[in-house]
Amino acid sequence: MPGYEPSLQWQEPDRNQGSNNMGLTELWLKLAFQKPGCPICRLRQESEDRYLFNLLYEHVTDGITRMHLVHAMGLCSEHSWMLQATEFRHWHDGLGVGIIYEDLTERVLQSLYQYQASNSPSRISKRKALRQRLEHMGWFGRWLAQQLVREVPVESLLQQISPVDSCPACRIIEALEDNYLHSLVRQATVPEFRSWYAASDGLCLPHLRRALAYTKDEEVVRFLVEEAARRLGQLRVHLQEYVRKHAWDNRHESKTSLEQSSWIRAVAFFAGECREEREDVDQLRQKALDNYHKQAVMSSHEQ
Amino acid sequence: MSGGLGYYALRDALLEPGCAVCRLKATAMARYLDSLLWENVNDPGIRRKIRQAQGFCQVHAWELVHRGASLAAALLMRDVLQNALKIVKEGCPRTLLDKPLRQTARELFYRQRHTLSDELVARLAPKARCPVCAQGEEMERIYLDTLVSQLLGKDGLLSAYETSDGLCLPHFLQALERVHEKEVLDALVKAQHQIWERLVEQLNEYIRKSDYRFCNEPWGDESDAWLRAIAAVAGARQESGQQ
Repeated sequence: MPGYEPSLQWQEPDRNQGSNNMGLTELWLKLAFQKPGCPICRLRQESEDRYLFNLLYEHVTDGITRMHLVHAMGLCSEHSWMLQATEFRHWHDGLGVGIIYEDLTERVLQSLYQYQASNSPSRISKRKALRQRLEHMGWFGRWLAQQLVREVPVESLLQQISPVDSCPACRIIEALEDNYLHSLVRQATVPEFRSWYAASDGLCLPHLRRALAYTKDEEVVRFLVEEAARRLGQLRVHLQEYVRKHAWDNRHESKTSLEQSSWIRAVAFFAGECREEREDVDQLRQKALDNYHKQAVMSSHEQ
Repeated sequence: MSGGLGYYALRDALLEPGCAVCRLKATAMARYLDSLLWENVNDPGIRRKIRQAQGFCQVHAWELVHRGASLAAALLMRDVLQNALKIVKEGCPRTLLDKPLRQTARELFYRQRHTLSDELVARLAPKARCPVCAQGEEMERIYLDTLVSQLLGKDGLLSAYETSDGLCLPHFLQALERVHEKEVLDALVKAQHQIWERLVEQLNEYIRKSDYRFCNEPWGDESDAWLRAIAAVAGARQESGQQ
């Protein structure tokens, strides 16, 4: 809920409960494993969509929400434009966004107005005259002039129109992301959970780094590293084939779906998932993921 | 006015809708990507920069996909991937004996034992910024300096600025930080004030016309004020293929 700051900070779970107790978060993860791309990126996108929808549907005129938005001078650039796209997609309108940003624009405008008013030519000439008169009154007058007749510096204007807090959407989504990552590394000791993970596209590099930083369990680290190395090894082969088949003398060789999607999967691995949905890109990735599923089933049969 | 290329680019961009610096920054980044994909995929210096940055940031990495630069992306990513794969395959030294002698000695002496993951995370972290972002920020700095230095005087940019959509709030803040002369500061604040005042009036009108009592009134210039308000406060949208 955007209106208040929910307690989303990660709390160490009760170890006595055992790691087999899968909660809602783990089930969300399981569902995300079945779709193409990094599961955490996908869950992050879903959380972002929910947050922005709720903000527009429920909290546009909520005082606390608006206070957070004022402190952060609106959402960050990325979430602002996502908010606009969300409102347009659901309501074909911009009233909610208009109300939020009218308030912010008005506040910035007031700060500029105050600066202008205190630095108008008439005020400046009055200040100058007063300073001169005071400075003729000896050391006390000079001291008084220094204390009383001050120009309004640009720093105060900068302070007034700068954000004092980070984007509320980023803050909440980051906390949710942390929650998902902590659940993932906690459950990575469970064989069933590991098989789900093995059949997925795995984590992207930014999330892999964070997942590794969240665990001290050497077994989990080894599992995540082995999985990443296995996927990257396959991806490298597919990329090499994709590049090789672009050469003039190999142009007649047809590319497999895994090779066709290899360059997109490589981008997704290093940069995280794309926020815009693209049907053609998704289809290519789904084909590649189906292949992982087949491999996971085959390896489980062999075992 | 000997303003240089930045001056003329700014003068032209101020005639276009939205924040001129956002527009020019987006153009600079798009040009950089174009030249990278068209000319420099096999340039060793650029490849080294990309390897150090572990590829591109999320926005610019997906820009490769949106541009359909499949072969260039495959070549660049293969390079980055081989580097990452080497780190991941090497994993981490499992025991003290597997580590370099100096590190083992230091750990034993200072009792600083890093966990397996800490070392791996450090090795996998990018060592440089996304090259496209770095280029964009460099150009942004040049344009803001040009705007501030060329705002007043004969053929100054002030008249074009006053009739434009002004700067977005993040760029306005950056411009204010660069101002050293009071006249320039006053002119900039006054012009921006007028621009935002106009925008607030249009937003008020947009909200009024969304009321059921006035919803029959035809839309005027205020119809896209909500979009311009987002752009004014948050900066322009980073779109794929934005020119």
